[in-house]
Order: sequence, then C-alpha cells, then structure tokens
Amino acid sequence: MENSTDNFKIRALQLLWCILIWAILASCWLFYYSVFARQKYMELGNKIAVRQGTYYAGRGRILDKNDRVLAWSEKYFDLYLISSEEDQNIRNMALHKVMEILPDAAFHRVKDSDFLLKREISPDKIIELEPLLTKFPDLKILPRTERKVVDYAEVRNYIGRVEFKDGNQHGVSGIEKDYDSILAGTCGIYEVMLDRHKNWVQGTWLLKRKAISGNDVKLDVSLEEIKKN
Amino acid sequence: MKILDKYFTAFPGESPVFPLAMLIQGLLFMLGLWGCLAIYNATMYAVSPFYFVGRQLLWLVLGMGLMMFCARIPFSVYRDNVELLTVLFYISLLAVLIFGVRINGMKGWFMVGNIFIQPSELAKGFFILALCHFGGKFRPGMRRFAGMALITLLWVLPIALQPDFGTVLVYIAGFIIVYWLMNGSFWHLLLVPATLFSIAGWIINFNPYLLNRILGYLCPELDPLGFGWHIRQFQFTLARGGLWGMKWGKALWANSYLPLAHSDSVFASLAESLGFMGTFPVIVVMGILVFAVFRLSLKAETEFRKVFVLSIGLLFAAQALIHISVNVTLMPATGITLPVLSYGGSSLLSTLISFGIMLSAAGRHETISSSKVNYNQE
Repeated sequence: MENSTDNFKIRALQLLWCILIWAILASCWLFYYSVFARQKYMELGNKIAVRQGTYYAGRGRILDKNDRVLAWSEKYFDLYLISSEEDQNIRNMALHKVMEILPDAAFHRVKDSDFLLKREISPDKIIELEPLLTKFPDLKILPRTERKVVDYAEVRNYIGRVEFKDGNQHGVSGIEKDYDSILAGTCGIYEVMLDRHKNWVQGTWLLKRKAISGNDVKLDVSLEEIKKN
Repeated sequence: MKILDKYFTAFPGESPVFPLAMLIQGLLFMLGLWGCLAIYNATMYAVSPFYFVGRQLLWLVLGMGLMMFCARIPFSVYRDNVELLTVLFYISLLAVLIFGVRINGMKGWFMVGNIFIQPSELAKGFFILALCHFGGKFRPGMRRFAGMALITLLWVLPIALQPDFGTVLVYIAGFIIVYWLMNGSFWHLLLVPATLFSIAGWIINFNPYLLNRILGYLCPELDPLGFGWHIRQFQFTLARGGLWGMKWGKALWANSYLPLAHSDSVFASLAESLGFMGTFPVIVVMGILVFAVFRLSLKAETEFRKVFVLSIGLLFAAQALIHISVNVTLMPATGITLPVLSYGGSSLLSTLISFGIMLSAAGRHETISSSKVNYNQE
C-alpha cells in the first residue's frame, strides 16, 4: 500500500510538472504578444482594420439678391445589399426581412453583385433596420449628398453642376465653379476600425480633423432676372 | 508538504483550518462568475448583450447544485453502474451523428426546444470513469495499453466524425493521464504521438486544406488573409490588450475578428480587455485548483479513486491549457472551450458534474471493507 501510494504520488507529480511547464510556456507566449512584441502586432493589426476617411464639410448655399435660396445640399441615406457572394438565398432572406420594415424595398442592380434596395430612408426606419445590419453584414446604409437647385432650367444652367471629388462636392460649371473656393469648405478627417465585413466597429470612430463648412454666396441678381436671361 | 498537510485536509470535520472540498467548490464558483463577466465582456456589442451571460449564469447556478448533488451520491453507485453509464453515453455519441443538429460545421448537438445539448462534452467525466474501471480489468503492460487505447479509439471515433478534433484531443489527453497514473509505461505512451502524427500525415496527404492550415499556423505571414488569418487575429487581439488591457467591455478586436469570442476565443477576448495582468491570474487560479485536486486525490482511500480524482483535475487542466495554447497561438487553431469560463451549458455542466463525482470519489460516504483494497480489487 505504501509503495503503491508513493508510486502514485511520484507519477502524479510528474504529470503536475508537465502541466506546470505547459502553463509557464503558455504564459510566456501571452507575455510575448501582450508586452514584448506588442507594438509590432498593433501596427500590423491597424493596417488591416484601421481606416482613415473624410467626411463631407457641407457646401454653402447660393442665394439671390433677395435672399432666396437657389442651390443647397441635402443628405440622404440609401439601403444597399453589397454581397461578397452570389448567394440568392441569403439575398432573398435579407430582402424579405427588410420588406417587413420597408414594404416597397426591391432589388435594383447597381454593380455585379451590389443592389440598391431603397433610397432615402427616414431616421426612424434606420433605427428599425439596425439589428438587421448586424444579422446580415452585406446590408449597408450609405449616405449620399445631393445638390439641389430651384426647379427652373435657366436657373440650373446658370448655377451649374457639382461633382464629388475626395469626399467633397466641387463645382464643375457655372456659379458653382466660379465660387467653388468659398462654397466648398474643408472636409473632416476621421479614423475608424472596420470589422471583417468592412463595417464600422461601434465606439471606434475618432475625429482627426474637424470639417469646416463652406460659406454661402449671395448673388447680385434675382431669381426672376436669371429666369429672363 | 508537512505544512500543507496541516492546512489542507479533505473534508469538514477533519480539517483544523480549511477543507479542500470547499476550496475546490469555491474556486470553481469563482471561475464560473469570472466566466460570466468574460462572456458579458465578449458580447457587449451584440444585439442582446445579456442573452449569453444570463443563460450562463443560470447554467452556473444549476451546475453548482448538480455538483453538490453528485458529490452526495456514494461513489459506489457510479462504480457499480459504470457499464450502463458507458453504454448510455456511447449511444448518445452515436445518436448525435444521426439526430443531431449542425452548428459551426459540427454535427454535435441535440436540440431540445431552444436548448442545445452536446453529448461529447457531457461524456467527459464518465469517459474517465470508464477508462479507470475497464483499464483496471486488463493485465498491466502492453495489454492494458492496447485495451485502453482501443476504448479511447472507439469513444473518439464518433466525435471525430462530427468533426470535433479539439474534443478528440481532450479525450486523448484523458487517456494519457489515466494510463500514466495506472502505472503505464512511458515507452507505450510514445506510441500515442507516433500514431497521431502518422494518422495526421496520412490525412494531410489527402487533404491539402489541412496542410494549408498547418502552414498557416507555422508561417501566418505567408497568407495573412487566408490560412494565416485566425493565428494573426489571435496575435493582434493579445497585442491590443497589452499589460493592463484596453478597458472592461472593450474587447473590440475579439468581437470583430475572432470566431466565437464568448466561447472558443474567450481567453483572448479577456486578454484584450484586461491585458496580461488580468488574464495571468486565471492561469494561477486554475493551477491552485489542480493542486488542490492533487492534494485531495492523496486523501482518497483506494488507488482506483486516487487515479479517478486526479484524472478529473488533470483533464480539466489539459482542456484549459489546450484552449489557452490555441488562444496564445502556441497550438494550431481548433475549437475548444475554456472549462467553466467559456459560454456553453454542456461544457459547464459537464465540468461541474465531473467535479461532483470526483468529490464523491474522494469522500467517505461509504465504508470500504478493507483499507488495503488495491486498484484492481475495487
């Protein structure tokens, strides 16, 4: 009995030593990544996940000499299905769920496997859609800024057009081009962490540079004069 | 050792200071609560952040009750019914391949209402009991090794077919532990890695996917967006944690990039939030728990019980170290839970029930006719 107990004790201690060595090794590995090589792996990780982006500064309005607004910018949110795989079942399931919230949503192919489901979603619908965005990572709500001009052909020609370049609207013709430096403003810069589906990770948005909105431009002609010319 | 004997004795009434059984139960409960916090930390940004932690807390309370209940049942009840229990659990392992549901690519769960039961987790403690029981029936030497290896092989075959290789690894560790404690030969045990490597080599030969996974483990920088992806993500998660951690609830990388941050990657997600200083104590507490089990095993009356008691403790340690090693990239990625801490009712209940039976084996609820009963006689 004595011998067998001693033998058990010896064998048990041998196993305990193996476990202890294994635990020390695992702790050393943990220490290596958390402390010793931390900087190197942080930088490598940030290259994958951290992205810098610009956000729209807000283009100034164009007013006539009577302070009537002729051109202004409006922000909208559209719902897309940007699918990495051509899986019809997942697509249909996502659309079915979306239609419970937005009954008139439908597939409109934008690119190969990218679909626009609904334009101009209201803020309350965005809140309702939030759980679906987590469940179906291919569903994305993307912002869109549109430049609006009062609805007269003569005024539209006179005011001109804008195009998006480097995250900001820039005038390419007419008044929009002539006064672009005043209207455009400066884009803001942010940094954000993306998850594996390229969605923003909640709570990681960091402002790097504040956006400066463009200034309004007041013309020395009135709406009626533009229409006549 | 003399000093330790003075302070750590087996059960209330025998101890002048601190009963070991109470220490083990207390440590398990503490680790369980720690696990609940870790699960909440890993699922804070989920749609229902209290869903997983709420269920885990329920399992923990139920598990503690079951552990105490199992500890009260005389060990002879388990020992006398070991054949029946073995057959029942083996049938459940086979049945899950036919009637089970597939989750994360593994067909290893029975679905009862909205509860998922994983028989391969629940069977762990009973596998150790069966191995101790049937192993004792074989003559020591090669015959015992072959017999126990055959039992293990039959047991892990349905689990490998699920396929759940992480759990297979835990069962093989269980076999090595029990065989070694039953005076097994070191040379016989060398056959285990030799066989495993041969089988792995043979499988890899036909399955380039596995070869790529191993290459991804050895050189993740060769294919960081493909086969090296998981290893890389574990490294980045640990690096973000640093010495003191990001902040409680800020396991952002684990939540965004690691698979199953609340179960198979719970150690890494804990490391991201609490850093090295917050996770190292988990290893220390588990070490204290295993040492307490070792001290308790020395108090058990027969060799059969000693082997069973310590095997349960060491199996717990082996599973924990496999999980931690995978999470710190010491081992290739495989899905395995951190016992008591990871989310999962089957895993938690299995561990606590095993510890309950272990406490019963170490206790003195029944009279053993002779203090000189040896392993084979019991």
